[in-house]
Amino acid sequence: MSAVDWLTEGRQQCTSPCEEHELFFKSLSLIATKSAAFETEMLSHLSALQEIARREQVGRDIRAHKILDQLASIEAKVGHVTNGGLKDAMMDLVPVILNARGNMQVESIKGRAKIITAAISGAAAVGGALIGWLLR
Amino acid sequence: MASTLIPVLFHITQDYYTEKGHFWERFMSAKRLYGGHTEDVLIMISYRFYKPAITRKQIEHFAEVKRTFPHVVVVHAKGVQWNGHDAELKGMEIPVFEEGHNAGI
Repeated sequence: MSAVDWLTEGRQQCTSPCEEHELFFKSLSLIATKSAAFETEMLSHLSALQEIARREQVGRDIRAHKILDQLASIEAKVGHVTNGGLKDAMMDLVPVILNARGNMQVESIKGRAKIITAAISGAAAVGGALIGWLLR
Repeated sequence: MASTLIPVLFHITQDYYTEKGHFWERFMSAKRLYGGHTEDVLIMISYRFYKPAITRKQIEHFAEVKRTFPHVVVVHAKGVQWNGHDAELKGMEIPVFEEGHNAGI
């Protein structure tokens, strides 16, 4: 007997209440509850992941706009250069400048420190020479 | 600016009690899914489909969820037999809501 037959014909033959059928319907109800729980849970995960992806995309868009603004500002500064070769070379440097912006700031501080050190040692050398010449 | 929390449902069903590892499998999946965004999601542990008697083990599971996800609430709690454990949940800063619609989201 198929499951459908058992449910339709078989049930009619049963004396009420039939324990076997009651058990079957109880199991069926349990499966329905589990699938409803599974469905709503999965939908909540899908919806949450979609929202996370949307927020990440917003973050990426903001970063992209910042880069575009920086590029526009660089382009405006380089725009007045008339020498084609020089202009191309400067434009080639743009991605390097954008990527290494943080490093460049550190390097520029280091460079300034080197210049100050060199200036102090140069001044000391000149001062020493002057004193030596005066004492002669 | 703080963003709105993203709701994520965890339904408690009979499987929670009958299938060994059911909780940990789902918890680990959630950890993997929302690993970098644990601050952004609101875990809603729901008793919509099953109203059991709360056990000590379940409270420990809730504590583990709370350690990973800072925002956790219990919803559809009407009819659940708390046996005094609801006070522990409140102590863990996990609010308990009788229905699902008033979970503050």
